[in-house]
Amino acid sequence: MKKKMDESQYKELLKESITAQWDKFEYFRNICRKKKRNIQDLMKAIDYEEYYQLPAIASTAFKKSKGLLKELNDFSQGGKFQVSSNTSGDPSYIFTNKAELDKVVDNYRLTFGIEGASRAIGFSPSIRILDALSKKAGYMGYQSIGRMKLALDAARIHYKDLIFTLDIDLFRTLLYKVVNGKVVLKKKFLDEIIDIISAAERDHEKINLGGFVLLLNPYLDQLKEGQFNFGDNAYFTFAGGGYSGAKGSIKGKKVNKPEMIKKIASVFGINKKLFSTNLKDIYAFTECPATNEGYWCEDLEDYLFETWHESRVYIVDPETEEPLKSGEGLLKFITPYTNGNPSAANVSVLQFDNATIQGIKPNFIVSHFSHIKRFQNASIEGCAYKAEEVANI
Amino acid sequence: MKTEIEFRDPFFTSSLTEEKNGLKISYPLADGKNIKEAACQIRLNAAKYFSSHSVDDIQKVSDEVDSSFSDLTKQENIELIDLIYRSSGFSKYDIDHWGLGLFRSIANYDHGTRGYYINKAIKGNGIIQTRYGYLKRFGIINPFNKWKEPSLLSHFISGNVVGYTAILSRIGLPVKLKGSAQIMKLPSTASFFPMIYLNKLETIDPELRKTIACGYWKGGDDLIEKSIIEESDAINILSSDQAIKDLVARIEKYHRGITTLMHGHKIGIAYVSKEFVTDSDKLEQTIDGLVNDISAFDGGACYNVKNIYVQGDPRKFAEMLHAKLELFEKRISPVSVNIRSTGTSLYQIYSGSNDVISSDEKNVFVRVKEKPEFWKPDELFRYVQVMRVTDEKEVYGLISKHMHYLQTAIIAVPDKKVVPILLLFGKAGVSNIHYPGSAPLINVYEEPHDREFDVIRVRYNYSARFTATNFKRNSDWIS
Repeated sequence: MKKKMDESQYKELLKESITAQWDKFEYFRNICRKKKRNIQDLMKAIDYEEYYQLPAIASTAFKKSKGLLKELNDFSQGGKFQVSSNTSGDPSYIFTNKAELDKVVDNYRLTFGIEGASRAIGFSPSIRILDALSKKAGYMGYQSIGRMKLALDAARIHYKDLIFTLDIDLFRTLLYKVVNGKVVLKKKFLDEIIDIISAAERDHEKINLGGFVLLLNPYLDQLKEGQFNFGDNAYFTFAGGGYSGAKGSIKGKKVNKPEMIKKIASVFGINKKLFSTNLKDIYAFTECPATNEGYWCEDLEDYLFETWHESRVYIVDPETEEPLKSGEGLLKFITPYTNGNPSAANVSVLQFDNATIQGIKPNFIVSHFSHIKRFQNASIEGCAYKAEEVANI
Repeated sequence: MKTEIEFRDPFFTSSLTEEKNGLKISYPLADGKNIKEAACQIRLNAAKYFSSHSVDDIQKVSDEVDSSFSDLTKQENIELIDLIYRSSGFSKYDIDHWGLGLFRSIANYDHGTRGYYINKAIKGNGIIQTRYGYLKRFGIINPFNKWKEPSLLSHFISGNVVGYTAILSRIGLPVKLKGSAQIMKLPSTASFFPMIYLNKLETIDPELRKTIACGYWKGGDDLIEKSIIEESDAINILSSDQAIKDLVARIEKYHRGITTLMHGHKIGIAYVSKEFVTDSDKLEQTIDGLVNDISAFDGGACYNVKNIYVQGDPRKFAEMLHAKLELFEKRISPVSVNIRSTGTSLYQIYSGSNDVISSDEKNVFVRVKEKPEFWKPDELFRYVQVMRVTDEKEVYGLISKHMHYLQTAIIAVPDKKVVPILLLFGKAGVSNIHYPGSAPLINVYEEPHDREFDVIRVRYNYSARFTATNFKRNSDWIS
């Protein structure tokens, strides 16, 4: 159960976090100065619940290629770098203290965990793979941990019976290591997946199928309509996006969300009425601890996300960063640290994702949003150097 | 009222229409079904045309086409600059100075020495004094390689600049004996001028125009590109490294062994020696020049300067550079509206950093770094990094590990260092060494493009590389 944080508690923790961020990060003070705000202005904005007045750090500033990691992270507390899933080949690095790391895991546990369900299939790389990737991502002499690894740790806490569809083929990896040093991966066979799902159905047990749509869809394509009849016992919890057809090195077909939902319903025998309780997506990003849940909404033909209870969200104009009352804009998340002591300048973050306002309070705080998509800049096509390739060189 | 412009191609007869800034432009669209037929037809046309016209006659036609763009006081060209501006978004200054400016040097070049310096560099190994600078070959020419004319040469054009991309069809014109049939892929942006260039050719010599098929298709469309690769015996690619990798993989699959020219990602550099930092007049002229080299086509060209190595205080230099870049943007060459959002994003990221000089104008960004490196920019924009170096040898040490990305180097050094730097930077892999303010101006008759003389390389696999300067002494550019 999510513990409700009342507004005064939120304000106190936010004041503490923003004051510490102000004291620690000259980068933040510079941004505030350029927006003509001093620390008193920030405190006043919090008192008046005008949180949008807190200047935000662009989430992309944490990307390795930007060269700002020393300016944006504080290594004085113990902790690890949280590292993004490397989607663009240019990961973000956020130094995260122990309390906050535990908080992220707890947030995922609350969103991934389905009450009364002990079985789950993770359509994702295994913990073993993510452990290895986390180890490899160590940077500036500090340990790193993949954000996805934190999510899977949370799932492991909740589910007794949890399998992952992508793992290392140990035998072939050992064999190939001698030849070309490459790691060989293996995917679970369709029959193995069917056996696990069938066992849950037979035992009338709840099951949660979660992870990347791009890893689920190849299996879904091979399952027949009416193959299972779960009623309200099947749950789907997606995360990590990938609807465009690509998630890092995982490539697939572009996903038509309504068609995918229709297929899931017909294969697993899920009634339309259950779409808004049993089919959800999680919207989260490494630069922020929030794990926003979105349930499928037939009217929107998309997931309807509810703002994480410990964050305040605004949808802002991409140019002016002013909060919008309606329509589409960039997401701005304001989330205090659980111990009030930030280890990175990410209390207020501007995320380069577009979303549409679906629920808003008079003070611009967005309660619900939908239609999340990557904010795209115009890019130059040609033979000049392309920045996206920075980490692939 | 909209200005409607319809570009047609004799072979690609479908069209794609684009509307912007009061223009409605139709471009020819290639169709996967008739590529082979088009290739066959242009080959026949080329065989007929090149066997009945002398090299000199064809050169005259080509000169007439190029010369038509060199007089920028002509009403026709003033209108053309406006149309290119409206269709591409690039500043009129850039189109005028660097886009059409290219044709001034081509049209004015002495007829008698065309090809002379290039041949001399291929045959000899010393430093050649060209009309405007020096030229040097690096590497060995295999004497057993034979001259071979391609029957069909295909170009994949990039859309990041105006000017050079339009003249690619000159590569297929005869050098010694006969020319090639050519297919040209239009880019998704900045296709306007390449089509204007071909239209001009059509008005001067319609039969020569019929040796070229030109149209747009989506890059990577295998239905079209497979046929093109199979039909071509030489391919010239100007694109991103990713697109080149993809095309090369398919060339290996469909037509292994054909001549392939790959012009991928490039990152420009500049080296400013202490003599040009401590003398305030020289410093001012150097920075004024660099402002052009950084700003041309909003930093999206292969020749734009990104890394500036200074034998002096980098912060002072960077502050002066930033101020001048901003003034230049405001008064002379505004950033394209198509790319302004990149400036906004960069500002959102870097406005808090002490190491990046920016302002709320969001149009130019200058990074400062005490410890030098070969910096690979995270965005293409009017965005550079200034670093302190001890001397040119340190620059060599930094850039020589990144030969793949080298092309243009701007230098501001004493006269006696011009040739030693040609040798040093040439060894590192730099292709064009220019004086400040001239990065975009390639002299096609005596300078390589990306270490190659494409016009020769498509016919003769010489396996060496070349480096040239576009000046001999500082009095060539400094007053």
